[in-house]
Amino acid sequence: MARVRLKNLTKHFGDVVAVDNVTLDIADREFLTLLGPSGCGKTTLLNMIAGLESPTAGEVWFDDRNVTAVPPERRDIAMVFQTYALYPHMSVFDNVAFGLKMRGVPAEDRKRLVLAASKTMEIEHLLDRKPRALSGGQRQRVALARAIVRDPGVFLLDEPLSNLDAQLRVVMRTELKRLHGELEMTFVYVTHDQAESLILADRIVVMQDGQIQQIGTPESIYDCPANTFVAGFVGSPPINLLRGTLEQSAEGAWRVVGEGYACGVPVSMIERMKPPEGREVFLGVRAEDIGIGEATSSIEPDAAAGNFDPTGVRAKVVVREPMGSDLYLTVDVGGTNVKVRTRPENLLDRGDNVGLYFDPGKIHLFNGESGESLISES
Amino acid sequence: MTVLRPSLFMSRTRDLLPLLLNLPAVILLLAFIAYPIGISFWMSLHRYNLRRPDQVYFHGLENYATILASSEFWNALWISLYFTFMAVLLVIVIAMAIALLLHESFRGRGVVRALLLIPWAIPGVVNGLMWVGLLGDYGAFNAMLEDTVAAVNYLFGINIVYTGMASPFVALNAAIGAHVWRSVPFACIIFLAAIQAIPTEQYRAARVDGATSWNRFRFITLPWLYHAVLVVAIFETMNGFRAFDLIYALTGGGPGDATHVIAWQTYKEAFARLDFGGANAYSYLITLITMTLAIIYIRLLYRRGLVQG
Ligand SMILES: Nc1ncnc2c1ncn2[C@@H]1O[C@H](COP(=O)(O)OP(=O)(O)OP(=O)(O)O)[C@@H](O)[C@H]1O
Ligand SMILES: [Mg+2]
Repeated sequence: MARVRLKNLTKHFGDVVAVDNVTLDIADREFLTLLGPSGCGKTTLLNMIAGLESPTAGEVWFDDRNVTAVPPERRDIAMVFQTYALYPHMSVFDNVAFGLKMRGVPAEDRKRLVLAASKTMEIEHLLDRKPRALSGGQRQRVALARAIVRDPGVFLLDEPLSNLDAQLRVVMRTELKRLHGELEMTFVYVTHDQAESLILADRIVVMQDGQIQQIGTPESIYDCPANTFVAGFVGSPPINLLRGTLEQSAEGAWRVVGEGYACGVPVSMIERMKPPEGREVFLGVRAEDIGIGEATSSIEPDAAAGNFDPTGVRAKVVVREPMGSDLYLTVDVGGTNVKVRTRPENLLDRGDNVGLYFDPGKIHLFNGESGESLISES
Repeated sequence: MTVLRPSLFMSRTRDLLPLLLNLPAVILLLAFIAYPIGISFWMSLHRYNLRRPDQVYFHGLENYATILASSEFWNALWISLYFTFMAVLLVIVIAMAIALLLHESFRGRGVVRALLLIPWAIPGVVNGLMWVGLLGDYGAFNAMLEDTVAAVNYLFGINIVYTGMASPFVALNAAIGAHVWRSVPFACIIFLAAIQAIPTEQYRAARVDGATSWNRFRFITLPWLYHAVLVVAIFETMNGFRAFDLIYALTGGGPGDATHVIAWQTYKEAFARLDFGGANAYSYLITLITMTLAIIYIRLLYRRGLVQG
């Protein structure tokens, strides 16, 4: 049980600003993921929550306690490290029991607690082994058992699945979700894998260069990215970003026009938009929000485009990538590569010309310079 | 494409060429290593005293029997065991302490690391002479020891007589001190390398687990250094048993037979008594002892699974 609050946390390593003024409120028993590319300061932030790294500025609060100066062993936390950090010369049992032993828990209680934790992690049959005699997945389970055995209030995980193969990662992901359901702990989970983040998290914190870019539920991060960085980082394949200009027709309808495309903007979106007049914008559209129309003979704009076709997109197929249940096409729209998801039955192939349709309700508009979203979250 | 089969001639030259190229090295090794090893063993089985050049003859294990029956040998063996045990212990403890210190970051660490190597670079005889200077009658250490003893005597109202290097106890332990001083840098480098190879996450995990700094040393650092400690122990044990040049320069085996380590005894057999048969038997006994100890250490390494068999 613990609510964690970070107040203006900053960490400098010499000239490097690893974490820059992070303020965050993590609810009790929440599953929060810190998501960001390599080197963005996730581990450093987690270490500061753990007390392994002291902040250059700012405070860490657990419930109503300022723990900024409290050492890790008195913070009621457990941590799973990127490399597991099992003690190689100790048996699995001793690894799991080490924290209890250091805290002076008597031997019988230690045994009982270790057995209970091993049961949860299904490693009872491995207790006599040394870590080097375990597979990657088993080591992972031991690391988790070592963390949960002390029943901490806050559970910190640093990319715990990054060293596992793809299949095992899926299994352990489910396992972690189950654990979070069973244990009454606050989970802070660091990852650079956006899919992992979307699946596991109650809330996601997207970071870049030590700064928080956006905080929100997986849905809101995916559906309403705060800027082009978040939009590009969350979702696979990454969102398509096209340069364009906002225009209004004589009838008052809005659209974005760019090289090789035009796309209508629904009124509901315009209403939520920060003043848009005459702007350079980025149009963001995800691969699954693009419809494929008729194959056309050329990519030259026809007469219709000269009039006011709100959704006309002219494209040429560049790459065809079948992925089992889906087919991804990379197409060229006015010199920009755009990924489109479609049914595997689609026969379009390299060199074909095709008309596309951007779903106007699903598009994202960003400031052409700063990359900030133009749509305020409703 | 056709495969070119080497002709018989070619394949033969191919076999011969590497052999030819290695021949000089092989000959040197045979001449300077294998031959002396063989001939010295052969000599150890002979009565071979230069004072009696007319009486050189084979007499089996007689030399060994004489040595094992002599009190000189057992005295030298005990002195060597004490010398080696103390040296290994002190080298490990001191080198590890220094290595742990040098692992911490502080201003001027690079300079200290470089300075550390100086004792290692000094030859044994020079080291011995330097300590003669420090511990001799007019030496600074000698004066300090003298004053310390005087102060202790005064404080406790007792009367310990300090005779400097004329005292067997002081002479032997001074020799150990000088030997340790010279041996620490090498051990320290090995420990430092081993400490630096310990992943920092081990310590972070231990801190989260609530281990105090002493427990982190006890449960993380020490087990991770097990291998390095054994390597240093093997190395220093052999070094301790073979210690000679330092003894030669510092104490000359004295006072009396107080610093008659086994290597000194060997030297004495050969060059004072001119008994080459006996001296060679002595060398073989030293070899036997160090090899036995080395085998024990190496088995320890294997048992812990730290060396892939
Ligand atoms: N001890 C340190 N000394 C100097 N710089 C550091 C230190 N630790 C981290 N940094 C720097 O701080 C920045 C953030 O590092 P951090 O380890 O927090 O990144 P991360 O988001 O965890 O990356 P990854 O996904 O690769 O683990 C990086 O630029 C890194 O080089
Ligand atoms: Mg990291």
